[in-house]
Amino acid sequence: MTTPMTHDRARTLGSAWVDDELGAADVVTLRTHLDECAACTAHVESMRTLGDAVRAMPRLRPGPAVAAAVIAAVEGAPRPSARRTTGRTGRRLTPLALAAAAVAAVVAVVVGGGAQPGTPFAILPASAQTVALQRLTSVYLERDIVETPDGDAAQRRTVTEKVWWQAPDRLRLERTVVDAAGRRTAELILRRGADRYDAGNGRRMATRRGAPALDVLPEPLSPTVPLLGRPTGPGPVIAGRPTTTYELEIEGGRRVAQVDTARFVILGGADSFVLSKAELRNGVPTAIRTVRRLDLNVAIDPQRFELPEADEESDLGFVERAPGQLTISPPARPRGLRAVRAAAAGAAEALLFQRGAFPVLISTAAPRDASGPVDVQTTTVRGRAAVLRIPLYGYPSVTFTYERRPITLTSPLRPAELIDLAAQMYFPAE
Amino acid sequence: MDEGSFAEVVREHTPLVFGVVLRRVGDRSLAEDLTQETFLHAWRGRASFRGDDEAGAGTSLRGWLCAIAHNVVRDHARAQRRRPVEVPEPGHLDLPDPSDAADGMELDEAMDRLRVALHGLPARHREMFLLRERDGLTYKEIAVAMSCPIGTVMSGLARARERLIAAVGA
Repeated sequence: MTTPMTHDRARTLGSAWVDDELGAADVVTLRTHLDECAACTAHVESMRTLGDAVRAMPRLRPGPAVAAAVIAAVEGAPRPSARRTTGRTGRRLTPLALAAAAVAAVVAVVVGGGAQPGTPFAILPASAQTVALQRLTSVYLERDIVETPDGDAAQRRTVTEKVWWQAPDRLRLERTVVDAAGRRTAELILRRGADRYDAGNGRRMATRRGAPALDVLPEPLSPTVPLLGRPTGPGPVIAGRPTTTYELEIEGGRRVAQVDTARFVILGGADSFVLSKAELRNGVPTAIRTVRRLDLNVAIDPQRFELPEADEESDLGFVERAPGQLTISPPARPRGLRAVRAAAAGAAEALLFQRGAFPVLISTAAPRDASGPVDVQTTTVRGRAAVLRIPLYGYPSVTFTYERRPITLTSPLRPAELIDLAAQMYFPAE
Repeated sequence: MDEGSFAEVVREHTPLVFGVVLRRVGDRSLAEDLTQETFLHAWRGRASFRGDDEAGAGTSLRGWLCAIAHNVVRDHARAQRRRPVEVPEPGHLDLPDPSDAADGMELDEAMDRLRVALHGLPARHREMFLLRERDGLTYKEIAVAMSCPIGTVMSGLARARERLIAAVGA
């Protein structure tokens, strides 16, 4: 015996039928209802009419330059590295996931920690004629910049920056500015500019408009210039590096930039360093920023990455706790891992560890990824069933059951490394 | 996916991505910028894209691009606000402004009612509806684009159509 279809259900199925998305069995059921229901039949017909009307509405289209600029950039870009054999890694994607994770606010204040760069020193190209493609997994650079706002030499200031960049939203930028009057200010920016600290006293600074946009790439790396600009010839040698001059228009203004001729594969993308840039007003350069010194992937002093303590409240209901107050904890702690934050909210708990420069987040909360495709795979952690999630815009996570409790590890490690870490922590070899 | 085939993808899908972005940001110039940004992200992440196989597994290209576009818009909004907040739904449509006589577009009264009705829809339902009717995406593609189950797409479209029909008397 079948339950008679409600009008509401018939209209839901009718909507899918109009879209040719209804299964054969449901079509038969729907037709039976429509044969006896004039109101639903009229509604389905109205849905078709509605679709015709919407499709007939004029629509704005992008200018031809949009596609052309993208194609030019792509066809001019070197191929990305072939680091594909071990599967997708969070590091080569554009990560947003921890921003959406349940304990994002807890994580945000502790990116950094002791440093283990683990990347070979980059040998930079010397020839202006050679566009070398180099591979860097993560970047640590130091640079001195001279800024001349409005082209006014009296306002010239020097900026020393130390940038540790692992992924597009995993950035630690330490900046010291000395203005023309000799006044010195310092700030520390973590992750997308959302968390800013006064490097002097460790206090979190109020966010402000006009802060550097860090959500896509740190400013030293800029695919936008080669993407939107057009090369106009060789530029000057800046900080010992040959450059190419690009001209481009952004936000209605003309700009000129000198870009390092070397190309680097960083996190899967081909990027270059912008070594100088200026806005042109009536042909006169203003807002000039020029690099005077650039050291790339120099050895990192671990002391540089001791973050200041700062009060931080989660807006997601998590309350900080001492790690020992949580019920979750790793039974075994691999060498080099140290707990830096712990928090609880309702039934969920989170524990953040630091392994070198990489955060390792352990939580009992269900993994939450930023919107976008997520590859979900079944796997094992030391023979135990586990689920590996690799979001397009996030870091890999592995979830397994430990003492009847779901545990999720999230970290910008390769999936195999993440699983191995989970095994070391929870199921050390018997 | 090599440069050549990706160039084809860009040529074919720029109007789709532009429409998705424009509906979120409402500014043509900004939408063009973020459309470029979307394809740049797609190019970088192309190795992670798995197209549909014969069994229908994997991710559809159009849905994947739309999902990236949504993230690019959200990131842009976050960068503007310096706070990790949800992007407010301004309710823009990829339609010419009816007051813009220079475009020579004349929308009759019925079209205007439809436009108003579309603005009145919940943002997610409106986007599902436009992805389906304006952009021709399948339910599976919309599900990928909106990061939701196909059942949600099915019910969301039905609700959107019900409200629109009630509003415009189609």
